[in-house]
Amino acid sequence: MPYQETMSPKERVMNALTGKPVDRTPAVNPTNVATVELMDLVDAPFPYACQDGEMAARLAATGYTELGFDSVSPYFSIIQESSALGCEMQWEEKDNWPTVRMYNPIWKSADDVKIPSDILEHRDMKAITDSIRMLKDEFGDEVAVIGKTMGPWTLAYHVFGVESFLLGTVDNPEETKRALEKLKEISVLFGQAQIDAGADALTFPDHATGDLVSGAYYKEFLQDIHTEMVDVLDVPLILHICGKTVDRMPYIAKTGMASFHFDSKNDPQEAMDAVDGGITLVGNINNPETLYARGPEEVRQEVYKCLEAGVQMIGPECAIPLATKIENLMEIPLAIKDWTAERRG
Amino acid sequence: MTLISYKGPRPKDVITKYGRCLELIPTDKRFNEISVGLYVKNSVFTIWSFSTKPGVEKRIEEIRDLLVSLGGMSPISGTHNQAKFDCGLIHNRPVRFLLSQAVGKDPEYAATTAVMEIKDSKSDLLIRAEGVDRDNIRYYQISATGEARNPAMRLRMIVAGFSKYGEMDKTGDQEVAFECRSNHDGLLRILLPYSRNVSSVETMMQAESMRGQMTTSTLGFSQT
Repeated sequence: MPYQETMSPKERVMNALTGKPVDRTPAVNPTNVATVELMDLVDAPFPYACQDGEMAARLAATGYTELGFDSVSPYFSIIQESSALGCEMQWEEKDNWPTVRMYNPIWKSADDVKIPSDILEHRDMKAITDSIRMLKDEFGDEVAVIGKTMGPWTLAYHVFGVESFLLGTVDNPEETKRALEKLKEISVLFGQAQIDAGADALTFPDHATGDLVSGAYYKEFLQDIHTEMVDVLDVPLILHICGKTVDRMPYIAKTGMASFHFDSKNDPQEAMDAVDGGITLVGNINNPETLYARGPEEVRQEVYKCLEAGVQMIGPECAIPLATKIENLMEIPLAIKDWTAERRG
Repeated sequence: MTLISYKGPRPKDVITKYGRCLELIPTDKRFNEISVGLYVKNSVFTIWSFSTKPGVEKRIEEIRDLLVSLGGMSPISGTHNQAKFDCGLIHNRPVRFLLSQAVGKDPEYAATTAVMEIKDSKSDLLIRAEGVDRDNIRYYQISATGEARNPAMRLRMIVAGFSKYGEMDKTGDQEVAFECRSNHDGLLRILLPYSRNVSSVETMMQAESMRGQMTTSTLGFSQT
């Protein structure tokens, strides 16, 4: 019998996230698939699309309407909370990511961590919650709306500075843990606000990346916090950590998170073996070399490699380069459909 | 509520009609920072932007006209946004440099027909490219005059630069030709400044490609 799709995109994503059967592997974008061409298409350029709910919603919607992904994600960057906390921002232009200026961190210690009572009313927080509401109004239960709330490790980089924070983990681990405990309240606050706005799932980036810290660090500082997040935030959570992370995947698999969004530095089969069924995986199409610099044929090869390994959801490894060509992104869902048809048709 | 109302063609339609995107300029600094793509299908290049800002069609035509005047393309009659090389090839690599120049230059920029020469960036040499026709083939002989520690070595490097960025074939010690063996003086002029300094161009291109990429090393921090 020829292969036929029997699920809505949202149903497909939610089933994949919770380990239930799917009619085909979903194309999912836990981080971002906005490009400069899509910004032009819907007149929602950066940085304004990171500051205005309607622009964010319009731009995020293109991930579904134009690219054919099964999910939409309106939080494109990783700086909304840090901006709301008062970090000095470099908003950049349309073709570059807004960033936190690293030379002037706002806090020095855990005692400094103070969450403004009206933080959810900050423009850059409201942009996300408003956009989620609009996307739900527009699409209802048709497509999965994925929000994003930054984990305490990433927030710590932004508010304390990377070097200072990482040195602190060596010099005074207890102080680091105290800071993470306080910062995780922001993760919960913003995550819950997005759930209340209608988010079907949340990406939880927490950049204990392979380049900066070891798997043992993950276990010591973050595994328990991530486990706690699963209890507190009542939607499927997608943990995102960049870089080579195979050494910490067994720990991640025990947190109860629904899925792990993994980087192309990890071989799909090796990653599947590392998590050993303890968590689903989403990823890991390479950004700089494949999606940005190559063509649809190479994208297709990587999609097939992930599918052959059994990766449960396919998408770019991280937020895509903003000058990525649209045809390369469109190739991800097309390749999934063709692969499925080849095996079931 | 309708979140999106499309005024123009959508990506799928554009790709079907105009082919694959060969090169994308993320922001046109001369016109509202629109993105400008160079699409190609059946050897026909199309300049395309998804922007629907007023005046975009005129701007696209300006860029197309610069592809013609700078790069030696022929406009496709009845269009404002299409052109092709008479040889019928795409010239994948040099045409990317051409698009960058066409978007960056003043629309009034007058293409020159003067001698193809440029000062070397690593020595006091003056580099010259001279087109020579033999048996209906256009060759380009590369020479240099002036002082340098090792002029022969510099010339070899520059010829290698033409091979790299122009996808040109080396037809002699100091001679190159395009794959189609046709006259592409315009393209050669575009390539001259790039070919003389491969390492700098590579650094520049690497920096350009990193813009807009979120990497493990940036983690949401500005690098300045």
